[in-house]
Amino acid sequence: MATRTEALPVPRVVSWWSTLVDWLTTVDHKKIGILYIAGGVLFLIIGGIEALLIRVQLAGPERAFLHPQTYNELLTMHGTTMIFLAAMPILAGFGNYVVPLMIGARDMAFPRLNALGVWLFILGGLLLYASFFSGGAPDAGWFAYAPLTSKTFSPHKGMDFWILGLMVTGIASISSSINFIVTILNMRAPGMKLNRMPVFVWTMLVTSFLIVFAFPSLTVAQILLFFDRNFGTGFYAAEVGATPILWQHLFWFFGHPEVYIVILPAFGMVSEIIPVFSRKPIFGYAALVYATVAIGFISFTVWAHHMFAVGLPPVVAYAFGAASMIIAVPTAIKIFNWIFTMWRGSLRFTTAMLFAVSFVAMFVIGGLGGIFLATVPVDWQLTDTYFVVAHFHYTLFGGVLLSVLAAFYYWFPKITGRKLDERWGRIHWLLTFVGFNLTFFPMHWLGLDGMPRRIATYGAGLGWDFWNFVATVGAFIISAGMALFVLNIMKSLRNGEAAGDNPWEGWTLEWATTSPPPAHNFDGLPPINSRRPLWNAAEKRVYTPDEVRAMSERDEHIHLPPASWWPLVVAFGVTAIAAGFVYTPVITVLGVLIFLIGVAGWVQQEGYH
Amino acid sequence: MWMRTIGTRLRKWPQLVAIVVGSLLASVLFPTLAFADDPPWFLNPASKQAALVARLHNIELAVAVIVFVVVEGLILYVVLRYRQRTPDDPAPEQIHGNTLMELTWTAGTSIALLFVLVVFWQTMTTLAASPSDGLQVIVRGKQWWWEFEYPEYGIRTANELYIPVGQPVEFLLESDNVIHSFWVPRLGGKMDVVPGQQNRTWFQADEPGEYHGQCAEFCGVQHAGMRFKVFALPQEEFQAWVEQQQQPAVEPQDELAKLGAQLFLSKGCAGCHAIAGTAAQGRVGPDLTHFASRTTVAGVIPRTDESVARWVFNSEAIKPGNIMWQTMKNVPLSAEEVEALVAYLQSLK
Amino acid sequence: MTAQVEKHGTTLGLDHRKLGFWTFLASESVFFMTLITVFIIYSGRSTSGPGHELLNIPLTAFNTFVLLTSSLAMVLSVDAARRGDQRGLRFWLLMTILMGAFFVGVQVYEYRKLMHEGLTLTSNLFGMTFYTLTGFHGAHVTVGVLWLIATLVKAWRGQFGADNYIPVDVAGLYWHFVDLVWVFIFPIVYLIRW
Repeated sequence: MATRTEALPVPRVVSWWSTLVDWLTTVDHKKIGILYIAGGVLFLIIGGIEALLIRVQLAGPERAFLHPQTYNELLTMHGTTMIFLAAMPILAGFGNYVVPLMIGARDMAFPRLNALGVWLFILGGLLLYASFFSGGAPDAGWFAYAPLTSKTFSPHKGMDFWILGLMVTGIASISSSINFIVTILNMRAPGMKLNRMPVFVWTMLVTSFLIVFAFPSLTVAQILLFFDRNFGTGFYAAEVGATPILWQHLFWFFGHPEVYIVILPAFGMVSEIIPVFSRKPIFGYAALVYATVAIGFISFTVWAHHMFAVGLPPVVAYAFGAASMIIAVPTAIKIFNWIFTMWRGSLRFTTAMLFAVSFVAMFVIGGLGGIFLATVPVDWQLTDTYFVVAHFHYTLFGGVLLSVLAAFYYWFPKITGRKLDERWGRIHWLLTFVGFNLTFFPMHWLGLDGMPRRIATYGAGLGWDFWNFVATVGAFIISAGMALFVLNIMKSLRNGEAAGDNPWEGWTLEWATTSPPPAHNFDGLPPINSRRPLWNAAEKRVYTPDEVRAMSERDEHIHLPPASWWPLVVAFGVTAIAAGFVYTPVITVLGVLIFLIGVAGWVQQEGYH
Repeated sequence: MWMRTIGTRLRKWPQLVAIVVGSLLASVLFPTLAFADDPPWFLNPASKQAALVARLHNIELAVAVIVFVVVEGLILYVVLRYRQRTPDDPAPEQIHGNTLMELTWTAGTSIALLFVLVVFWQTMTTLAASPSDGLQVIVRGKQWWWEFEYPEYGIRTANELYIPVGQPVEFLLESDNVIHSFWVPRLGGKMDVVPGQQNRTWFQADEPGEYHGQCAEFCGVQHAGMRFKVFALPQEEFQAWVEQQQQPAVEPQDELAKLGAQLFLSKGCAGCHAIAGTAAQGRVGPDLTHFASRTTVAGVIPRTDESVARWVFNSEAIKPGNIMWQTMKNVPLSAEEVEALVAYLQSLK
Repeated sequence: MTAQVEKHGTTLGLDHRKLGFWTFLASESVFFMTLITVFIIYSGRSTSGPGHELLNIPLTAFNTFVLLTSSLAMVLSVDAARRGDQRGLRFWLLMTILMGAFFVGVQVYEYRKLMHEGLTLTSNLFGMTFYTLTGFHGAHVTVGVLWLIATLVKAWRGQFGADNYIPVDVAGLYWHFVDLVWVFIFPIVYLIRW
């Protein structure tokens, strides 16, 4: 690697074509972050539309708005989309954008691998959605329990699309996790010790380890399923002496850590936002970090709590139930830490703060629901009912989505240089908060009243009609909020209030540079002597941008990696290899060729090591 | 612009939060209002097992409500009390943590959990003791209906389960297709019906009555249609039911029903359905020997002449995706033939 | 090593590529652990068909020996690269490749023989788990051989030296990992009669 000192490249947009090329070949973590977020939001909207269709079908008893087969496909795609194509990419996107800035790095450790990840996510998602136009979408649920997924019970190719699409995005997740781990461990600026890292960086680190260790289990489960469906094996077939329960073990060994894979970064986000808007440091930093690590470890020991009704021996079930409950301790520690960060603070209720505080309040409800489900006998009544739907939407919508929305309002000025409109934002928040509770709180009652999950319709006279209708109304209120949010983004991109370097008086390093930051992130870094590098402890305020610039030592040794087509080529190759398995083998052969060309070009490209 | 006005007004958000949280709490007291005549509400148990679980649930609910009120109350207090009054409020004291407080809530949470774990263990051990003298019923999950076989009595029936009150009944769960889950909320929790393994569960109904049951594991197109009813009868009535079910099918009396019996054999119905005492011995679909003693057709619609006719003529319209339709759609039936089949089926008391 | 650190200025003093590759291998370990677990869970559960008795243990034991020896050759080639010994690097890389290819060749021979004797992927649970586990391992060895060939080509062009040996080192990490996995698979699949 040659260090160069010539003038920095100034990004200049010449035409739409060069803009397109710029985005397709970018290796800049910030652009890649934006691509992840944009793709994720697109899939979030698609998943939301699927949810709305489901709610319309369930608005009243015995409705025939959707054929049950269509309903099952939408149900499967809603779950799969929200987890794999919305939550994970959006979180990875914010991580991509913010983590290198927060630790004072120029980029991620492997810029091209980073680009490969985002293209694999987008192409894998498209491959999954191609199923709608190729004979039918997957229909066996995002959890895909065998043997409902076998060729006998799901004869069209939907499940094959599901397997292959998720494998492609899975490669993306593992590669980006490796990238995060190396970046966070190995690219911290001088002074950025582990115990000075922002909590969000910590959560991204732990989440990345969870992905690295949890995803292979899903991959194996899917490979075996693919063999069963296409090569005549019977890994999940009772007829040959195997057991369908194997799928559940493999799936949940991945699936439970997956829950924390999406919630931990959300924890990290609010741990950044609440302190800044309370104008106080995070309460109990060490406890918060230890709790994050503890949750990471425990999450690998609780998978069978999804399986209490499959006939586990009682002692085993009790052990898994007890282990699951133990997670409540580190989670409670976090909740109290957030609350006491606000305690005796000076709280500024921006939209970001409204979402962050709502997250804390709603996540408590989700956590309490979890206690019921961890006690095995109660779970025998509540599992596979709407109580579970209520519970995990309080953790995933109330948890992940609310904090992601907080993160949008918080980091949007950094990413675009403009603030989102705060007035629209407050209405967005109100609609989301009210709609969310209206949709999901009544589902607790529905579960207690014996309404099973995943039913395409239900009989009248069981006491389910009213609350289902309320939930549907709530879903439309949420949609109105989300529409307003999208409008707000479009409006604010054009004429939002200019943000300046540090609109919220934040103290982590991303606020030490311009908004948006230059390609090389920082001209120079201020000294890092504490967890809050931009905090003037003597005067109890953040340093102004000018002060920060004055403190920063200009770095003359800036080397940026050149743009590259190869990540896109390799991603196309990988996706084509996968697509060939559902379409025709010729595509796989072509895919291998493209892949090899891509790898050869990648290895030979100048400007990298 | 109206949105701008609302947005500005929303600066008074704490009051709004209070309203929202308040109405949320009020809705806790409200669910009973939305009840129908006989909801499958498991906290209204009708068996000892379900009662134990409801008790455990209620203890947890008490703990959860306390935690909810304390924590949400704390959040509300903190956000109302410490919100910034004017933009130039001085920065607050920079508190980084407090070991004593952190230890307190860690210990507090652990103690509350320990309490729940103890009650949880007690309930677990009580429920684990299964009876030795119970009536045994083999439950078979099919796509998408239930078969109940009483090996002791030589009875097979579908979608309606009869049990005696005050006697433990043990269920042996079997599937030769996908995973289902056997569940009667007011009588007991779920147990999955897994191909290749025989799970067991049991309960003892304490009150006579009719209970709603349903498949609780996603099992394909008609998962929603896989409903059943449980009738808990006093001993004598149950015995009478057993004796009635042990009889072979009644011979058709009138001409129409006789024609129906012939059609049942000639149109291929007998390939899948059994009617004891006739040549129909199929085991694919429900046993129809005493079809007319059941309350529903296919578990989803009340049994009337009209609904049976609709089912025979076009089952797809009632239970889309059902497996019988895969064959039936290729068997043209005239209105007269449907009428005859209905007459025959409706005679099978 | 010192030169490397100064150049990249990494926080932990470890090259990015090596740290990243260790992480990748951690993920790969879980992948193989899962496959091995499936093999163990399903061992002895076949309802029909041939099983363990068909395996040619002496042949595979010899093959195991070859694969383990190839790891030694790999160590020597990384060492040669580190010292800037171009001839040694090429020679030992070639030896590793030959032994790796031999291993794959024997595995292909073994598969053909087993299939001829009636054990296929779909025969029974033993066939499914045996071919899946050893097959994925064999695929990893094959990828390793291809990778080493590409490394050899670069070595021939003199692209490695004492200041740039990390790519050889990383390829070596992969090769040792694949070997190590086989050290678990061999006794579990071939030696233990479940």
